[in-house]
Amino acid sequence: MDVQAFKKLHREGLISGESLQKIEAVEEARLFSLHWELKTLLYLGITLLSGGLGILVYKNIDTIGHQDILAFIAVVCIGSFYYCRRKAAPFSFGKVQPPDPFFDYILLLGCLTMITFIAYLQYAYTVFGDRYGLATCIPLVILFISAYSFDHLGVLSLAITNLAAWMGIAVTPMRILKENSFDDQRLIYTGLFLGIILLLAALAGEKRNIKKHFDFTYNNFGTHILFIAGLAGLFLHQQFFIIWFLFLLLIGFYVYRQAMKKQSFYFLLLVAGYLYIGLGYVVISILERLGAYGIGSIYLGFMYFILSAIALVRILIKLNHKMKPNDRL
Amino acid sequence: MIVYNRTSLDNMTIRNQAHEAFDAGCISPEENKKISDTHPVNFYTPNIFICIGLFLLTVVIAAFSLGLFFLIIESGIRSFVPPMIFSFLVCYVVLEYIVSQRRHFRSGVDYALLWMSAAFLCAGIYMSVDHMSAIFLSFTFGMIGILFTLRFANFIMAAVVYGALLAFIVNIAAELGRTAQVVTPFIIMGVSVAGWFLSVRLYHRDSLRHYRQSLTVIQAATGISFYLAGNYYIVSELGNYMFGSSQPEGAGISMGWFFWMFTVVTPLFYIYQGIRKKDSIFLWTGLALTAATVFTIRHYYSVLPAEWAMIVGGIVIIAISYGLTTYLKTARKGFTSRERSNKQVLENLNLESLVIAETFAGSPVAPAPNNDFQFGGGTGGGGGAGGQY
Repeated sequence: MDVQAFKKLHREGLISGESLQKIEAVEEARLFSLHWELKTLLYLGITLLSGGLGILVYKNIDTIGHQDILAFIAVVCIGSFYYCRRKAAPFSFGKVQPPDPFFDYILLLGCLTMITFIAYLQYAYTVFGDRYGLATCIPLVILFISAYSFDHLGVLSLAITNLAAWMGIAVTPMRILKENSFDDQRLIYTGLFLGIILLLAALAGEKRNIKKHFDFTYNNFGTHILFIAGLAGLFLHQQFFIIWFLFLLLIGFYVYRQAMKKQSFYFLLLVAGYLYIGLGYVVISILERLGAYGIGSIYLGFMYFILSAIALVRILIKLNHKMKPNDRL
Repeated sequence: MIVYNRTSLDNMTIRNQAHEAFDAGCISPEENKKISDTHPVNFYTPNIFICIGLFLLTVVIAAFSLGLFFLIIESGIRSFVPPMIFSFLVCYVVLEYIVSQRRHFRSGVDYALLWMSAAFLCAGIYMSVDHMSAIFLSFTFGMIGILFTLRFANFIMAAVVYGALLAFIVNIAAELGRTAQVVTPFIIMGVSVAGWFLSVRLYHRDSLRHYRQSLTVIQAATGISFYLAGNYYIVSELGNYMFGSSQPEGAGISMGWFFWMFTVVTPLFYIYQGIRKKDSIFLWTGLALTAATVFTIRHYYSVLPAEWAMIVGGIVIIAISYGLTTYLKTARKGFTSRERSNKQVLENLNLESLVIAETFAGSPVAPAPNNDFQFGGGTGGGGGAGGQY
């Protein structure tokens, strides 16, 4: 805060002398926070360490022996969970603050080593045989339980990613479009199913008042996967595109309602963006069928993009205005 | 010079200050409201996400409108220069109108038009000259960038201007010949130091208060360019660029010892300065450049096998971070490891949890889905897969 500016405001009679004193006192005692610097360092260190250990084990797999490695991973995992169990604040359905800055990371370490342990068991001894579903399902259950009992959004994201992997979809931001081939019918329906589950989970949590603050994570994953699967369905089923488009509108309407309720600009932008892509595809494919009219339909296509974009600009500005009073995310 | 209404800009600064004070509990809600009422801000600035949407849509509208226009009048366009200049004029006029009449300020529309008009102008000039030299090109970019920075106070544009200045110097030095190679790094260091002092000085000048964001970016950029000018890897690569790679691999560069020392000492000096002056720009550039130094050293000398370097480095970094966090839990010497209270909007996006999911999503996607693989009807866990086998 700029004390000079407040002195001026004080002279103009806009703030009381008492307020000015408070500001001066706060500025005097202003601390320089290294919170994010230290957190970034911690994160970097953990990434380096776990990466280095991974390579080390990989290179020396012949000499170390599976039992030793498994035992080591198990010790780290059990140790981390033990620490979390002892330190954790008592369980609550609301938001729980971590007892210390390292708690979150140690819980994360425990969860990651647990996943590695089970994957390793499967790799070295094929404990689960061909039942890959079971091998990915156990960590998934433990992850969800940990996320809820220790109140950790990162672990919840991991759990959702694992749930998706169990169903056969990659959902992390970088891989959602790269590693899924949405030409596959099965994948589209799985995506729709997963998306609906996630949105329902958010809704249920909110209604029942169970970890309400998890709703953003659920809604975020759910909305993206649902829209992407819906668009893939639209692109793939040319002959039924009206049905798929109506379906997209339905999703859009639901997310829009939620966004308005929570005053979330982020979800509003998602709805606008995904629906705009869907509508553009429908219009272009209709114009393509009218392709016989030659250059005329190309002009029409250009016109469509110009006018629709202008319309969407107006809509966004209007919606922004509507939500402005309590401007949040 | 600046296109935005100056009174509104000033009032916005005061409002933000009042808001911060209100968040810190220093002023009462009534005082906050009174300040807002007496300091009207006449701008259209939407939420950041709406801004992203407006940016993309403006690009769509401009691209398709100009495309349609040239499609209709396509009759015998021989050169791309007139269309580019025409596009620049259209974008720029609309930009001026949007900003001065419709009072858009960082709305996304102004960003989109700003970058498009600058790009069209640069492209038009580039195409109008045959075989434009790199010197002239960086000069043109710099000049256009300066005009746009002065008019619209955009901080990314300010960084572009500084980059163009450096490119200009390097390319002139490349023309001059052998002696220039030895001197170029020092010239760039000199320019960086001068740029740093200048930007710090201008930052505190009241008449330039609306350019503070741009000047802050230049400050960070000069810090980085000063380091890069003396970084061993950059110096040797730059030598290769300017005179062709005549030297055999590993022959080293003249005054190698100096540049090695410089590479190691500069980031540490930045961190030291950052802590001493409580300056987060120095601190963050120092931390980032330390990583650059580590990579530079490892590029030439593999002191340890990669995995051991990672393990040792990881342990050291964790120890430092752990130690400092515990040490600064109670504030000491004006430092704290606790979070500052005023939250940023983007923090609410839970970026951290997404990063965790991205980097650690170790478990690969379930292998080749069998046709008989069905997940149970939401009974969860074991029921789904277990019941089947």
